[in-house]
Amino acid sequence: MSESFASAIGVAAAVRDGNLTAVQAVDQSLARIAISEPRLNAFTGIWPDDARKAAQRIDAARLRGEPAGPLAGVPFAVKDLFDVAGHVTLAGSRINRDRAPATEDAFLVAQLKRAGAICVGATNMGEYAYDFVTENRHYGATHNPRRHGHTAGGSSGGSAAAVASGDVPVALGSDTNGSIRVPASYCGIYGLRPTHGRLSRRGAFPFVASIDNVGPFARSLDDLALVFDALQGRDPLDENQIDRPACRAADALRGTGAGLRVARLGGYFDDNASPDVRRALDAFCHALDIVRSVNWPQADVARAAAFMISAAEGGALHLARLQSRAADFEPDRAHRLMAGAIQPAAWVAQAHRFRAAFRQQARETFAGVDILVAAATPWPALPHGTATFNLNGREVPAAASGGLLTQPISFIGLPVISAPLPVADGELPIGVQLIAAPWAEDKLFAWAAVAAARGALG
Amino acid sequence: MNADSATNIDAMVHAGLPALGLPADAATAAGVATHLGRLSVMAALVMSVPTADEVETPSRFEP
Repeated sequence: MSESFASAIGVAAAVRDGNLTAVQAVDQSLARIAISEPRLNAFTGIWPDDARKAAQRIDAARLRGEPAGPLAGVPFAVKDLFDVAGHVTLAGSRINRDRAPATEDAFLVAQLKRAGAICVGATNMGEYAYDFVTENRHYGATHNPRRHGHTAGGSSGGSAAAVASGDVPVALGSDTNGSIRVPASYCGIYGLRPTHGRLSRRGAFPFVASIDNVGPFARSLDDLALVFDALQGRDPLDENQIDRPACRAADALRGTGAGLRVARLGGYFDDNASPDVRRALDAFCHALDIVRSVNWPQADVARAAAFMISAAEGGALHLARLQSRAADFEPDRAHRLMAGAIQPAAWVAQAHRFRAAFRQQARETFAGVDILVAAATPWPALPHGTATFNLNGREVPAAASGGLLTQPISFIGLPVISAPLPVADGELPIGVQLIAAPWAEDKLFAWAAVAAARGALG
Repeated sequence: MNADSATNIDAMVHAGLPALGLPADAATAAGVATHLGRLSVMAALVMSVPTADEVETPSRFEP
């Protein structure tokens, strides 16, 4: 394994043991970015001076004999909607260039720094996170490291590409309707959308307040658990966060996941997966002896309701900017947000009421099942600019439909790991969603470890 | 309100954009109408599902 593909666990251990300095770890990451960035366009900001200064502080502390954090010297990147002190948070927009630099770090950025990790830059994303493809008109399209000219997914496409290419071992993203899970699937890496309310969102530029969530990307389950453990912590200033006992994900990986009850989400979730994706999921289920299937007959309604709420809350959030600076938005984005803003209130209220009813249906499912599995995306990464895709005989809009399989799940706030399925050399990756009941991330990690140990994950 | 075919998308766009102080030029109106049309299809689906009167919208959503 080359140094550029070092794991977060490996980097932190080497820094703690004195076999690698934090400055060396940062320089390796920056060198990798310098090589890959002209091809990928994963970053909107690269901050070598900040990163080297932070690394020097960590190295100096180690030499003084101070204890190193669990992520000592680990380079990381953040989706460019997380505040990083001293830098303007662009959120993929032209308009936000006029904002003042952030005066303090977002809570999650601060948590990673507290654990010893070092931020090397901000990553490209869809404008204002309303996107599944990261084909950003202001900052260019991010390319998939697995196949140039193909989407890395969105809206956290830059973060996923940076991790998949080895620029950084881990990165932060946000996920309202699938913006962590879709790019994780397309890029062949792990992504976690925790239970709604688990992590603080303070300092993350919003999109849909009632659904927004944040989480990490990593190339391995071990790194995902390590970062998730570091991200957790009570933030009294975030009213969205719900005070619950922390999940110890690294411990859960060594737990007993073998006895958990697992079922495949069928019906809508199979109907909206391409034949290649269904075959990959069939093989996954076969390898893990998953024979039980669960159907959520109203999953299509859940997706529709999530779509409507997203448009409405996004439209309301950006209304003043749409009134004064519509021409500075990507045109199609502006039109989508305006449509959301003028939706009848009765539609949106009913979507929220349905959400409560659908949540109850899911709760009943989890009375008899611990883990649900479903494909993460209807198809593998598509070439940039793909307008439509023939999905099992239906021509669907490609960009807007990337979240067909993720939206019904995030709609009700369930925790999900998107994990890569095994693929043959040269094939594009595809991800599987591992879904648990609210607050049961420990079960997700425990069972994912079982699946990985049996060779069912890539 | 039934969101089905009775919904007049163009009327909503031409009333809604100026009412909210948004640009209402022809290109914008056409783009918004396209997206509002998609939303109306989804709304028809959502509005067709009966929900008990007692189902409330949580002030803070908790899973």
